[in-house]
Parts: sequence; structure tokens; C-alpha cells
Amino acid sequence: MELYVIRHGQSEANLEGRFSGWSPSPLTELGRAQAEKTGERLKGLRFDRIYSSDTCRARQTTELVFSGCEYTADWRLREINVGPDLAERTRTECMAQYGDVLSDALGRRDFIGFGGESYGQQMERVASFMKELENIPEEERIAVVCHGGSVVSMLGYVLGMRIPHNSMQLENASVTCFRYLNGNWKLLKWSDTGDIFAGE
Amino acid sequence: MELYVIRHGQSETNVDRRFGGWAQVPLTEKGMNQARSTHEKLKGIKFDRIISSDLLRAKQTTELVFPGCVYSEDRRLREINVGAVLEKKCRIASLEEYGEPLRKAMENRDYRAFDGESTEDQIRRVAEFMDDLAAIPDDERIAVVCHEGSLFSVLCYVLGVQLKYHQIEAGNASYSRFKRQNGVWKLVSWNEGSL
Repeated sequence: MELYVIRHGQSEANLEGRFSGWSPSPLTELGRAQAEKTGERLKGLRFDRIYSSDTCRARQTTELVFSGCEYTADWRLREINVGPDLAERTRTECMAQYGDVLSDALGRRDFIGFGGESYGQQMERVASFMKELENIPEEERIAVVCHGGSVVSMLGYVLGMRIPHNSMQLENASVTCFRYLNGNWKLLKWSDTGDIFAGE
Repeated sequence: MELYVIRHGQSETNVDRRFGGWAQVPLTEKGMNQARSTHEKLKGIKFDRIISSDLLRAKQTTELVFPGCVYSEDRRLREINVGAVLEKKCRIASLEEYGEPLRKAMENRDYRAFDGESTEDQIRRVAEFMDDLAAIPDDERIAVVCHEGSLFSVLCYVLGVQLKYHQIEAGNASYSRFKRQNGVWKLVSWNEGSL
């Protein structure tokens, strides 16, 4: 089974440096264009199933990349929950208020103290989604649209380890590929934007 | 620092499933075309230094991806040494000849019993190469042309973890990007150029 994972396009929170987590921040104009471009790149591929995080920016991306296609929304694909205090506020503003407590939470990627989730909890729900995919026939090709943290959690599941979050970069609307064959997962591609000038 | 790591194009030993290792095997016609296509993708980008494994298939790739450019060679970027007895030999026929010891060597990617290297040996020499990049300023962009095993070793170095070789794959003449900022390495992309 081939799994194509697409990160959502640029959201308003991405642009403004705001925490988003589970908040319904929509795509920007650029984010919509990024998703459309990824749709162009993938249009030659037939997908047997499409899944999306149920958060606004992911659903909007799904509907642009796979326009007119049916998809299943799954909450387990959501970004890490940063808790109600941080969501939709700028990083600068939150840093000024919480200082070291927030630096520490960001470093460990653990927002439980803010009423959100830990990295471990996100990894667990993403792993339960990945385990279900293992029952899908090997010849199928699946697409998933979700978030940076969810994709890093998927990679952690595939490699069987906790990936240090600050070692990874994942572009908006980029494509990451995994393969599941004979009971083994493999990383085939990470954050392919098809355009090496993206982000420059 | 931005680091682009390019795998060599298809070599003769890739096609007929022979061991490559440190053997001096050339690219196939297809491998040359793959390298030319990577040249097309990367030609708009300015690189401050180009460093290639000193094995023939890597050097041929370097000269096609970066035609006319000066590059240096570094033997620490070589593929894993499978031992001279296995080089250029068919994997299937070798398994018949050497049986269990070879099956184990391939499974563990540890060729010390054949006078070659273990995966850890390869990771260690590639890590030495990566450590040396610390001397290069953060604003430079570097291209490295090497092998799937060396690319795997770079990824282990960047993530600071020991991965298993069968968990990852990188296509011929693909490129993967890494970034170093304030002493911290990041994976930017893996196996681009083939979608």
C-alpha cells in the first residue's frame, strides 16, 4: 500500500505566527494556490481512498487537491492540541505572558499544562489511525491530508521511534510518501514540493 | 547551511542486482539520463562547494549534474564496503555460494565477515564527514553526491538516531535536502525529484 500524505496549505495562523492546534484557522490565498498546485502534481495518480483531518485548513486543502472527490474526515489526524489559552494567539504574545513555562512546553512539545495534549498523546492517536491502514489491501493507494505534527507522528510510527520534532521541516502542501508492504513500513519521500524554490 | 545530497544515477550493478560496494562500476545509459534530468532541476541553484564520493558511479553523476564545475572527492562518502569477494557478484548466486553467513550479513547489513564494513562503520565515517562541515559558514549551500547507504548515514546523523536500513529508500539521482542553523541539523526533504 502506498500512502501519500499532504500537509495543509498555508493557513492564516501560519502567516501571522499564531498557534493553531485544533482552531479553525482557514487557508490564505497563498495556501489555496499551494493546494491547487499539489492537486496538479497528483492528478495523474488514482487514489483508492482519501482521508482528511477534520480541521478547517486540512479540509479546505483536501477539497482543493482532490476537488470533487469523496473523502473521510478523521479527528485522529488533527494537529497537536495546544489548549484554549494558546490557540489563535501569536507566539510573541504568548511568550511574553508565559515565558519559560511556554519555552519548556514547546521544547518538550507537551501542552498538557495548557489544557492541551502531549506529543506522546498525538503519536498515540496517529498510530491508531496508521494501524487501521495496515488492513487495507496492499495494491491500494491512499491519500491523507493533515498537519505538520501529524506527519511527524506518522514518521515516528513508521520508524518505530519518537522523532525529535525540531529536526524536521515540512512545507505547506508538500507530499510525503510511505509504503506498507509485507508487514513493513518504509519512508519513500519527505516534504516534496516539486519546486525547489518554494519557500525562498 | 543548506546541504543537498544526491544519490548517483542507475549503475550497472543496480540493474542486474549485483553488489556495488566499493567497486568501480559505471552508470548505465539510463543512469546518465537520470543525472541529466537532475541537472535540469538543480541548474538554477548556486552551490558554494560540490563534494563527491570518489567512486566512479558517483563521480560520473557529479559531472553530469554539475557539468564543468570544480568538485572535491571524499572517500568517506563511499557506499558500504561489502568486501572484495562480493563486489560485482550477483546477490542471488552469492547467496547460493556463501549460504547462511551471507544471508545474515545482508539482513544485518554487516559485511565484516567478508572483510567489509558494518552499517555502524559506514555511519561513523559519514558522521566524521558531517562533523567536518561544521567549519563551513552557515550561509553556504553545499552539494554532495554519493550513495544510498551514505545518504542513509546522513539521515541518521541529522536525526541523531540509528535507523534501520530497510526503513528508508532513495531513488537513483534523487536529491534530499538538509539544513543546519545555529548548530542544529534538520531534514528539509527526502528523495525529491521523482514524483
